[in-house]
Amino acid sequence: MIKIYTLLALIFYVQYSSAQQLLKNNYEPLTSSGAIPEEFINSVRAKFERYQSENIDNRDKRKIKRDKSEFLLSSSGQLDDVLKSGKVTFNNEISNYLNKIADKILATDNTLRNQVRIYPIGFETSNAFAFNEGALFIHIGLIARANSEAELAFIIGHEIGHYQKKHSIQRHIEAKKAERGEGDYKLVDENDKLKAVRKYSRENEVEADRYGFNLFSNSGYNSFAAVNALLNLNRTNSPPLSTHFSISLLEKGTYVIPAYYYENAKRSSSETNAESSDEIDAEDELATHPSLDERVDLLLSKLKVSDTINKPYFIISKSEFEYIRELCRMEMCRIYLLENKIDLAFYHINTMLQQYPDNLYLQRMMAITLARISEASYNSNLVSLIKSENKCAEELITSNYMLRKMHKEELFLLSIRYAWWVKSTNTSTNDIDRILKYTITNYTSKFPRELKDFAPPDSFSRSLVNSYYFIDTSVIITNANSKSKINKGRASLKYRYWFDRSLSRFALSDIMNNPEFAEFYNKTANENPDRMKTESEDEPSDEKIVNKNALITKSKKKVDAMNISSMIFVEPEFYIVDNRKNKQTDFLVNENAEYKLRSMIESTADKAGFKLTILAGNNFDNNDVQKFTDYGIIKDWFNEYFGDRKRTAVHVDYIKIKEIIKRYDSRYAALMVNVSSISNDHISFKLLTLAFTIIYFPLLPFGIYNLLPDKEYTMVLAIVDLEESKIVYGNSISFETADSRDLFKSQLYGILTTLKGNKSTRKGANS
Amino acid sequence: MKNTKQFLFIFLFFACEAIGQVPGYMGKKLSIGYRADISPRIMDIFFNFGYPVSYNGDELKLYDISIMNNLDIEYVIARQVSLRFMYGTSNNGAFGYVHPRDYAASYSEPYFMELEYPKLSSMYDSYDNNSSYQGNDSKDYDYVRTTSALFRYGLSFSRGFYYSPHGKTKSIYFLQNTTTAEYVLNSQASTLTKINSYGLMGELCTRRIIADAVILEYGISMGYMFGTQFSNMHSIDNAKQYFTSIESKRMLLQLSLGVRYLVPKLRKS
Repeated sequence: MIKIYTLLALIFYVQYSSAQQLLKNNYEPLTSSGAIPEEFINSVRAKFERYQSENIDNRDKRKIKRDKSEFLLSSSGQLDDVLKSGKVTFNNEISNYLNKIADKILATDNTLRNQVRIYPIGFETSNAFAFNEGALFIHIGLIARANSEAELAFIIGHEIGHYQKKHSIQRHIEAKKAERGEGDYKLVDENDKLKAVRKYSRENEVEADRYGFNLFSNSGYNSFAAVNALLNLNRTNSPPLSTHFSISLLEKGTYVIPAYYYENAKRSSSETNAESSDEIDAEDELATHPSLDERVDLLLSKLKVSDTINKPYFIISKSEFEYIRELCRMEMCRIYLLENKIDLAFYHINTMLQQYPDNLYLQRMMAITLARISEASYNSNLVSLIKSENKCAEELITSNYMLRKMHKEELFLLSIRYAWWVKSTNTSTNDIDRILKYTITNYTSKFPRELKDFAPPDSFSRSLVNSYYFIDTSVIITNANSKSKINKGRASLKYRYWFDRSLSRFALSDIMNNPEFAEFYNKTANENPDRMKTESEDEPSDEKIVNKNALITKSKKKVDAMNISSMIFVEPEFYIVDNRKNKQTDFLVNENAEYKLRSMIESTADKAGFKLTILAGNNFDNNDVQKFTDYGIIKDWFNEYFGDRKRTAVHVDYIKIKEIIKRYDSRYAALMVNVSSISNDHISFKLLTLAFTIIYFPLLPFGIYNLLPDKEYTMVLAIVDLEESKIVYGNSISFETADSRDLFKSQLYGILTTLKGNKSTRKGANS
Repeated sequence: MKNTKQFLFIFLFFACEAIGQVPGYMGKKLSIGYRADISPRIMDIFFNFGYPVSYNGDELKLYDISIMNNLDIEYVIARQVSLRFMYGTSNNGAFGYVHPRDYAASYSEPYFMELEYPKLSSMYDSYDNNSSYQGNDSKDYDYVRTTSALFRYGLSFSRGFYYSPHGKTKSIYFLQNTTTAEYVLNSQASTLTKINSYGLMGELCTRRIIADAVILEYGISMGYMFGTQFSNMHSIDNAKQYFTSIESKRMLLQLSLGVRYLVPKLRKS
């Protein structure tokens, strides 16, 4: 009997552990699975009509009905935007876990439980939000920073409180009342109205805290977790882990980072990273949330000793919580990179690697981060991406100090060195070759180095490396960039002199004789058309320094022989803006325009003989989960590529992108945004013109025509090569006319013909 | 001259076709249709320097218009360039002080008295001798009628980001005009002269396309016929110049309305 139980237990364990990811070796980024929930695929109109029937009571006053209707339309549109942002996932380990917690805290209220849907959303901050319609979103960053299941339960309870008490719609009605000056807002000035509305919002938060607290403490969790959960919100700008930054993780082979780069790392002034806490703690009358102290005090006053003693922090399971938190921490590596927070990514991945040194995903992420760092240093925007030691989170002081202190060449070599190490220690490295190639290309474009330059000295030691650091590298670089010929000559000498005495000198010493590496390096370097020569011009010229990285620069040149005949179109967007009315975006109008736009795109592409796959939120049916996932990945790609104008050729999800390219048989993806605006500016000038034309009547038709509102239509289209990470076509075209079907079709057909054509065209990527 | 034009036309056709991919409108490049050029007759009045101008028996009014009917063919040869060919005719109406009664009442000199044109002279003489005014208006009525046949060869350039044949365009045309002047007496016409003239015209127009098949076009154009001397029709010395200037006056300002059918492209089987 015991044997049978043991066997069953073993089977259960094997099944359970196989369902979970083995984080020791790898990590598969979070995706959705199963049938797509209805709210992800139905339209804004469908959502709006449903919520209208649920929220508007016939007994409501006319004004209230109108306010509610206005709110519901806006809320439905915003919910639709969030659900289709590509950052929300469903039916995966994290969302299932969050829903399990909701099951626990709403065990006694099935009706409410059925109304609430909880989804994780891919943001790195510690936050959560609820929609009036019952959809709750928990940031991945919040779960990654949580200490216990009970903390999550409190946060979910708090958000359920917002939903249950209908705070968002009530807040809107209150704001509308204030706007109209009704009730208590009569004879109140605008500033006081705003203060009153914000006060109302703070009261809502307190009410949600109370509700959430009651809900989760009644479900048996240790009530003290609520206080921890609130305190955790204060850590929103800090990485999830506070482990000491490990320098040795980056040191591979002969590559040693001297203590000079990190031992003096500390805040140089009394300034602290108090921006966020100041923001939250400030007793500001205009704040939407009460101060953290106030909220904590409120919870402490409600705490009973009996609720904190012998009450668990984990009801479902501690191990499951820890596993889910690890997943979120893994996911955070991607999210940091997607949001271009290089310093946080660098630190966080380092700390994760200390726990999982053999995890290929983390090694890849580190290689990508280092490539990004060297890319940023190449483009001279590293300093803007990395906060100074005085402003960054406490944990990041060492790593940020090191990154700011290191010379560009060292960063490049660190990246090459690390990527090669990952490549050589793993069999399935997929995108590492690409990262390595990209970094070597950039490196050889900027620095005139041959592999033989890295020949190791007879004796090599850490103390030797440390002793080499006596030259202020910033002075050398300033001189090297100087336009003066004499200075250039001197700088060249110094450059060489400095290299011979720098850490870079040893960076590749142990692998330079590795035939595989030598072949890879030399091949990549020789294929680089912008390679810096060693003999005659052994210094970086000004042009080379100004020149951006090779892969991206090429994309901006004239488009030649693209021969594109298939493409993935990602959610073409259409915004109709009527500036004559002071009114919010009309989601329904935009949605209708988008539907028409999609059918026009399909028919035009068909006429042009173009194979097109449109991935758009409203285009999926319940079984299209794969398309939905792909859609999210490509959207992330676009956000990463175009976000902050810091384009990168090293994408986080390159492996997934490769699969998408294969699945849709196209390496090109298009992003299209159309804006049609109508305004009636300069009306007094127009009336004056009309008056003149009335006097001189033959011009009267012109006067009348001039009275018509001004229309403008803008179409922005970017077509990118997902494989090479570059823009192949980028244009923003603007017309002083209303949008029309014929205009759109003519434009799109013309562009598609350009892309399809064999001949070169002058209309190039000039975004 | 004719050969040069043909050569130019053919050269442009092939030269432009070779520039690059030609999208046309959804692949359709050829369009054929009708176009009306509407000119206000105010120019005739203005350039008659104070003398009243008769038009089909009545004095020309400020708001009178003249319409030229055209066959309009356009072929897109590059992304933003298209070739245009138009053939149009117009009846310019009758000019001159046509009614001997009016003429006799207002002016002492006989009109077209000393004519270079023998036919006109003889006809006028016959009128003068045999058909002195008896009160029958329908018959006692002479005038000079002119008709124009205008060929236009041109290039249209799409403005801004528009692709031909859609949107806003600038066009330039080479004009070849033949104006025929006929003397009409008692409904019998006799050709006085045929005058060939050449000119240039520029045009701004906007096109919209409906149902992917029909181009609607409206625009404004201005042109000039070479060698034009504006003159009134008051003396026979000015007659030839006047006939020549008829088209120039029309070209000074024209409003165009056109409708064309976009011929579907032939699908390769």
